[in-house]
Amino acid sequence: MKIRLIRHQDFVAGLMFCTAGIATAYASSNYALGTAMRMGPGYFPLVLGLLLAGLGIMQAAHSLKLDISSDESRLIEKPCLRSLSLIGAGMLLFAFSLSTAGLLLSTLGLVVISGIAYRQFRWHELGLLSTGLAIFAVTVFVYGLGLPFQVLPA
Amino acid sequence: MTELVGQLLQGFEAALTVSNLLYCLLGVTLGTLIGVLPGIGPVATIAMLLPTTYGLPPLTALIMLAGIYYGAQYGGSTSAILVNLPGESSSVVTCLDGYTMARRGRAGAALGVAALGSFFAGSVATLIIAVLAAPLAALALKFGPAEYFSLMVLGLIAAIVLANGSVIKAIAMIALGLLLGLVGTDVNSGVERFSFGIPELSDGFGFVVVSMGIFGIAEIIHNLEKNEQRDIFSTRVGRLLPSRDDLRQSWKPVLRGTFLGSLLGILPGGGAILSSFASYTLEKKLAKDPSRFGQGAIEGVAGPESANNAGAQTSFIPLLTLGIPPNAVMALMVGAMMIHGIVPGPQVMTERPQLFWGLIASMWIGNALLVLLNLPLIGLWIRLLKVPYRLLYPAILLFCCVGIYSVNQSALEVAFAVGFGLLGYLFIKLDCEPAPLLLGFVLGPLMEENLRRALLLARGDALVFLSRPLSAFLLFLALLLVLVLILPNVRQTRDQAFQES
Repeated sequence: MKIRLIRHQDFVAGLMFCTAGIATAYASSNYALGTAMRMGPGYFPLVLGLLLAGLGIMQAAHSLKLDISSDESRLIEKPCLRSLSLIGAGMLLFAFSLSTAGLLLSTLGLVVISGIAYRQFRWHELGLLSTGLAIFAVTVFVYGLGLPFQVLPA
Repeated sequence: MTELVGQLLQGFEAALTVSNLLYCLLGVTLGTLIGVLPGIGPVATIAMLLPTTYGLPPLTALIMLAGIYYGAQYGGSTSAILVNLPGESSSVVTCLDGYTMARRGRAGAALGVAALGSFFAGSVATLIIAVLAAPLAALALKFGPAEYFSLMVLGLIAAIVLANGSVIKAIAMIALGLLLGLVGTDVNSGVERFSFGIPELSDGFGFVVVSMGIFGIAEIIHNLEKNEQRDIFSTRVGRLLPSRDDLRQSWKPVLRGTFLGSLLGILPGGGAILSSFASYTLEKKLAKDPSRFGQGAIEGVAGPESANNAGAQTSFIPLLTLGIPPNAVMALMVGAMMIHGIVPGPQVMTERPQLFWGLIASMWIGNALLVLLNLPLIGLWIRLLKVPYRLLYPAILLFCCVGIYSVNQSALEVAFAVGFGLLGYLFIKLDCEPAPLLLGFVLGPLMEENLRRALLLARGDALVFLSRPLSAFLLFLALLLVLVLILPNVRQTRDQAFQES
């Protein structure tokens, strides 16, 4: 039962909202509250944060009802770490290498790394796709739309 | 009346320049394209293309972005009918009868009726916008901060009613969105809130960053874990023009769908999805023989397709007259207008009549272009449906990255977008619908500002929201919606409507 609960969509969602709400309420206590007539920067976020925390508790409590907590279809599916990490990594690499490595190489990197996220990927197909997209990106973004990107490594 | 004609003529004059026509064509073509392709919707596309519109004149930019939105409604029906996959969430119901028609060799008739019905609905809805805009804008000019605050409360509550799934989750997502919107410098006091000393955050999170992360990137990660399967309908499409018999059967559903869609589109939180569901249910109720539905009834295509197009179009009304976005796409349009220094609201109509009427006229032009474009290009869309997702998603990612990066030439913003992508993926896993969050994100700063101003003017008396009649009326409507939401049988119907999807 306990293990079930940790994997239950509604319970985890409730916890997430509650944590976010408390964190916001705590952070807004750093800002002046003011009065209802002259609200300081902390007033609105504090109220919203408390509201969010309350909603989170309601949601979590709701999920404890027997008929809901035993509903198998509402258990969280296993996250796909492969696509999650590879897509994120590809984008980060692209963003932080763009100004030094240039659009051509960065695009190659993005397409190859994110392309591996697909389970049945094929190397030769990825090679062709990344080359094609890199040429496309340079032609369209730099020469076509005139975006100020470096093309080749500095 | 003559004034209206004059204004519309002025609009056509503004919209019918060569470059505006070209961008309108580009917008509707792109819209159809992404509508046909499952896995990428108008929200992600508009977010992606926002940065490329910086250099364009404001009217041209808005014409193109609006074209993407209603083009997507057309394209969505194509893949629903041919592949039984809704390219767009609003064409879910089209699958039911459209695909059955296609399997019986009547794909052409279904596509034809969908296109003609959509064109009719789009034209009527454009006229409705033109007629209603002036009185509504005049009303909006009477709005003070209290009324604006109450209106936003109403809009957010309407978004909850129409959100999928748990009510508590939808409210919580809105609150989370409102909070996200508050990151950055507080306009009243100049204090930087929740920015953790990061200079990129002193203006808050960019709209493009949030929407592309939560919708675009999360969607890709989620799509990759499902095994995609597409049954391409390979037999011939058949005659595209519907027969006389088809027309006789479908003109009434088209009319009803148009009416229903126009009405539901105006409501804050409404729009295309609800309209198509409502129309399908209505047609099924009215039919002499309801058992035909699901077996290839042409009414089941004609009604919902007209309704979703009408709804997509009239959802521009709250944006253009009140400055309040009724759904996620309109929230993006607010972003687009802000980029060009236009604050959406009733004053747009009086201060920038060219822009206002030009955009409305372009909607009719765009709808006409869509019919001309869609029917002959069906073959191309079918071929496009055969491009596998593994080749498509790296290209989509590339567009996302370039789009986000080029807003401020900032790598950090791409990193934020990755963060929002992970957050969006978490939302999918936890069954939390993200659309209310985006609405809250856009409305957050506006809501806080109007709340503070209203209370300041009323010397801290919270009763001001009830003592001003307009504001009280709006809050009353909101309360009514909440009551409707709590009523058990309404809840059941709502759950059912979403179950069917």
